[in-house]
Amino acid sequence: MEFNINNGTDPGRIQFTGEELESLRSAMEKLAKEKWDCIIANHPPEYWENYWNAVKRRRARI
Amino acid sequence: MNTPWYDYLPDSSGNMFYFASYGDGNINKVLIFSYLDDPDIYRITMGNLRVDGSIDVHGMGDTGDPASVLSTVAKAIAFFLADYPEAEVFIEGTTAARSRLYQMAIVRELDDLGKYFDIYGFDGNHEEIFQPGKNYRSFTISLKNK
Repeated sequence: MEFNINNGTDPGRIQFTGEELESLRSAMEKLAKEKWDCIIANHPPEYWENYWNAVKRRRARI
Repeated sequence: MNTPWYDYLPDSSGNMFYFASYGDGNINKVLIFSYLDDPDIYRITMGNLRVDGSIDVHGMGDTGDPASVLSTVAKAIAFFLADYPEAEVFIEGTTAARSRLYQMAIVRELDDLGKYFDIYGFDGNHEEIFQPGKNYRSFTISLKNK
């Protein structure tokens, strides 16, 4: 989908149509999943086990 | 947060933000917060929007203005956490080099961020309150005293 990007309104602001935003969200969700899969694959299972254990300990304030 | 930042806008859901950065060129940035495997932990993903509507995943320090871009991301995290006070935001780069870039941004913003947020660093084995000068692989940011 071709975007008619208008970022010349206020400095740094971009305006999108509702349809563009919907398309953008879909593309970003796909990208987020791909990046997450990459991050997961960067580490062995122990890394993630340690991470989730650390989260549990922090929440339990141990 | 003394580094200049760009004027960003959230979409109606409050978990997607977009802004235009100006450095060597004019680049439209989009970032989204999405669930991790825990309902209160969100990861953050950023990309560059091309005019054809596709997202360039490799752009980060590509505007000649990475400090302002990362400062804007810090603002967006603050905005997101104000809307989702129970949430924790997980940050990890797809490479160790990118994680170091994020760590430098956190150090730069720490004086201000630390007043309002708990920031934790995870080194692969242990998690602790973020210590400048130590190397971490990932970071978790949440509102203080949530």
